[in-house]
Amino acid sequence: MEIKFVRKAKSLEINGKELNDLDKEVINFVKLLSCDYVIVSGYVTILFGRSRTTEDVDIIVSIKNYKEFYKIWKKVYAKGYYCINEDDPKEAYAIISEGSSIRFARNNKIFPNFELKIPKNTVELTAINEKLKVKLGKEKINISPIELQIAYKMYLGSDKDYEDARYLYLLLLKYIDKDKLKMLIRGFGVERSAKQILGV
Amino acid sequence: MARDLAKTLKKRKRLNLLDNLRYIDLYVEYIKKTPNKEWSRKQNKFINSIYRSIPKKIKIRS
Repeated sequence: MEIKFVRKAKSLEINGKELNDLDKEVINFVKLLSCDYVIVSGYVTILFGRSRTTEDVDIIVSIKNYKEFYKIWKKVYAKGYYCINEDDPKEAYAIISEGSSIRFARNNKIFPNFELKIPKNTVELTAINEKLKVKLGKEKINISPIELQIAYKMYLGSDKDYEDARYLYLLLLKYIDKDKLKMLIRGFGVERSAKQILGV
Repeated sequence: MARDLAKTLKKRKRLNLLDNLRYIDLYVEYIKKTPNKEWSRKQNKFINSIYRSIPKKIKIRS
């Protein structure tokens, strides 16, 4: 894997990657988000080469009010997606603004679906504020910082999460800020499992 | 007996995780040394086959 990482610019390039159907779907969808966003969780490991699938792509969106939300809603519907939870945009906004997530999928499909959430805690705010830009040829997407991604996976704690955490850690070892990772691991209170799974 | 079974299954689950982590190590080695174009082409075959096999029309709500 060839990666070009620019720490100062918080950007990373994966040149020459042939985009799969999921990558293309993600790129198409995030283009409709006229707000700050960051992709978190499972899709990030797939982006970096893990051969597994996911039903949903988790996205934290910085939507501040109903007007902003409705603008996105209209764009998303115009491009052939629908909201799985709710047909009424006002009801959907009520769900998302109280901290729950809403999901969009292509018309007549359930997956892959895009699970949108407004940042409601420090972890989600950090993910969006310190996002990493990933360039895929001419396309660009935002993902959460790798250190946060790994520490959070350790916190979630299922076998699949441990596998994803170890995958990202080993693959991106030379780009990872180890002090930051250790601090996050302490913050999540997962020192013991991080020692066992990651060796840090 | 139930306690023994729970103990056996817990051990099996732990071993399964360790096996999977060993596989991850091997897979990372492969990805690291393989050009983007090559690994992504193989990944595409797998991922696309899954998403393309999803039935065309699914209704989750009436």
